[in-house]
Amino acid sequence: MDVFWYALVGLLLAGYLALESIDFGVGMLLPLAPSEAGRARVRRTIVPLFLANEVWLVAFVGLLFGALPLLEGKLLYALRLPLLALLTAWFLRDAALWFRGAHPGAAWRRTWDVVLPVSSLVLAAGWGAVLAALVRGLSTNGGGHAVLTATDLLHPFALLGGCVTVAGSLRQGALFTGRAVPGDSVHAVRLGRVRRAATPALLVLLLLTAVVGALTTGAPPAVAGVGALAAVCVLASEASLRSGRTFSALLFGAVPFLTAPLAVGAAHGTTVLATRSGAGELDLPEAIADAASLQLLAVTVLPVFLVVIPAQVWIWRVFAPTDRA
Amino acid sequence: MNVVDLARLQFAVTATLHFLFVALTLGLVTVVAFLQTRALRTKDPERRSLRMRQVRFWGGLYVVNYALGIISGLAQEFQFGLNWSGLSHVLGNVVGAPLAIETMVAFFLEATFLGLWAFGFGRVPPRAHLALIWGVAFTAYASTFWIMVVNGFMQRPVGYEMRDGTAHVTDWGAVVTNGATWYAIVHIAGAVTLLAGLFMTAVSAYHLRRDRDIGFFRPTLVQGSLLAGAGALVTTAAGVVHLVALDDYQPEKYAVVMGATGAELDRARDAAAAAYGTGDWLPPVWVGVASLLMLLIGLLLVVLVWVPATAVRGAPPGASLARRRFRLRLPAVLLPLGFVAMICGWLSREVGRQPWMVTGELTVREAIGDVSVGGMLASFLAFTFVLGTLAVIDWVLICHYARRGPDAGLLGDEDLFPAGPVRALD
Repeated sequence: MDVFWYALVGLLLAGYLALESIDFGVGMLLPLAPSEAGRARVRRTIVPLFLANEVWLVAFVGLLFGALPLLEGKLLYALRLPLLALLTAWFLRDAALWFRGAHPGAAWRRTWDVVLPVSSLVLAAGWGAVLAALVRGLSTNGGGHAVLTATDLLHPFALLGGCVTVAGSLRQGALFTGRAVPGDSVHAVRLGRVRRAATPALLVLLLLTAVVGALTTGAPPAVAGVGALAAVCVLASEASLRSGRTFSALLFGAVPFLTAPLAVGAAHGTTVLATRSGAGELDLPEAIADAASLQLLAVTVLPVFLVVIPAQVWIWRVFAPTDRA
Repeated sequence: MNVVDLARLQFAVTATLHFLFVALTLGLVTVVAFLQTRALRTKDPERRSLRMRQVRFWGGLYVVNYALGIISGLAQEFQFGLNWSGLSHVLGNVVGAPLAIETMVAFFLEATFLGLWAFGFGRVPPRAHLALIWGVAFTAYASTFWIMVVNGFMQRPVGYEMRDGTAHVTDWGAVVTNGATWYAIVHIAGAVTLLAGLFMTAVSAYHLRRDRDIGFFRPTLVQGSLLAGAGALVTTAAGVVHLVALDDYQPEKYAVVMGATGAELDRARDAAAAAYGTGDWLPPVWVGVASLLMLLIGLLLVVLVWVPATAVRGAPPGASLARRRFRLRLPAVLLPLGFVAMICGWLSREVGRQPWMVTGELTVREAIGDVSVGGMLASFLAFTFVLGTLAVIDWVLICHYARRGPDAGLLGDEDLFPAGPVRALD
């Protein structure tokens, strides 16, 4: 049962990354819209959805605290400074989406038109780098705690992880926005160009990540296997697109994001917080909450999925742009 | 400043911002849910459309306010792990599950429902749209409940035992029925109603002073004023009960809040030292001032919030009320006082808990993570600067849209938040 809770927590993070990859991509690609009307339209496609997307991360941290309290404390401690940057970017991204349309002033809009792509880029790159660093294993500081250092973040594997999530987000953003933009417009042409460039770039990056991961992490088969799965799904996404099924293309395109937390689990098994030296690690049996807490969570949290999942499907059905738009 | 002071200041700044926005959110969501229910039950198309206009106006302000509530709430959620990892080490098994339920049961659902509601005007069938706002309201209060379960435990730990240095719950029933939770919930429910009522009154009075949209704002002036009055009575009554109960479970806080001095204060200090060991276990004395200020504002509000409602007396419907200047200016003074009382209440409860994180079990000093002063300063400055700036922007926007009146849309998004006819429920 301990593994079930660990997997459920991982699933929430995977859901966050898969859904928000679209928001990150839409945000980064905002400057491609050639006119104010186009930028306003881009923002409108995502505004009704981003709250329901980002809440997966809130749920992730909440359930992490409930089901694996020790991991929550140690993980957030280890990731403190990168998380601080990600949180700040998150606040600003949200503010840009909420506030951009609130005032007609040109300077006001220009400001948010810079904040949105930059904060989206920081979020996409940051999550990729942090997850790659977790796959590789953290450093240990003088106090014997696991910690993510600047060197860890600048390691080629972490940098590649960041590039994968940026390329993947750009691709998702181009696919999503493309559904809302008239097919013959300048904007659509630009979005098509981004997607056509992002797809091979993503495949190459995934290959490189798998190779570097096989050389520098402790679990070469896991890293290579997850990388291969992601690459196959990117190809499947392209194939769907060619046959005109843009929604399937988006679903397949989300797989590289779903597999990122999977890679952490595949690389380290039940060592829920892994370091390269082995010092300061945390194992699942130690991290898991006691039986009384898990029982309460089982009866309260699990039924929520029965409501949240249909509600999230509903919100997509109502607001996601369709090809007819 | 040391790490503990910086971490506490950081929590205080973000919690204050969060609380200011969330309090108004909680009060307004109930108002909006009732307004929409009434609108959809109205058969006459003209009256129904007037009432849906009310839903869109107050609902729009609610959503703008919500934006900052969620952003500052994120900072709160992550701070537990970022700065106070001692909490999860010692009490993870007790406070973890309620916090998880708060985010999963309440917030996960709330955010999804809110997105559907806020942008679903004209896109979601009316009956489902109404169910959504009630879903948002219900989950918002569920969220408040579970967060107050955690807070109640921090004030007065019950239903647990310590084994090998970590706490384990032995009785969830005792944890969720904790008096320290329930007194506060009733007090807060009253206070958010008071605040929402004051907000409605102040905005309505602003327009009535200028003879704008009298048919629209006259009813909400009265409703807001009466709502604030009812809220003020509940808040005060719950506050008094709460205060009396404090003597029982937090005698140190009680002594300071009651303004004890000299020998009386020393007695409380000695009693605490006898219970917890050598040391000074009293909260800072200025908590008594915050508490007194809250009390005085509360009493003032109990008397004065009814006054704006009387501005409509004797005036035929549609007549100008602009000359009833005092009664229409009063809400603009009362609203900020309500916010001040809110902050003072928060300070009384949480600073009054010091030096404990969890009374008798864990001090804030023990709960702090092993973070350097530089690291803590960085997060303090980043959070304070970014959240502070966004809070100011958000409040300016709320004022801007409140002043522009009912037809400004939500954050300028007329197409996402459209006006237009809505069918009545059969």
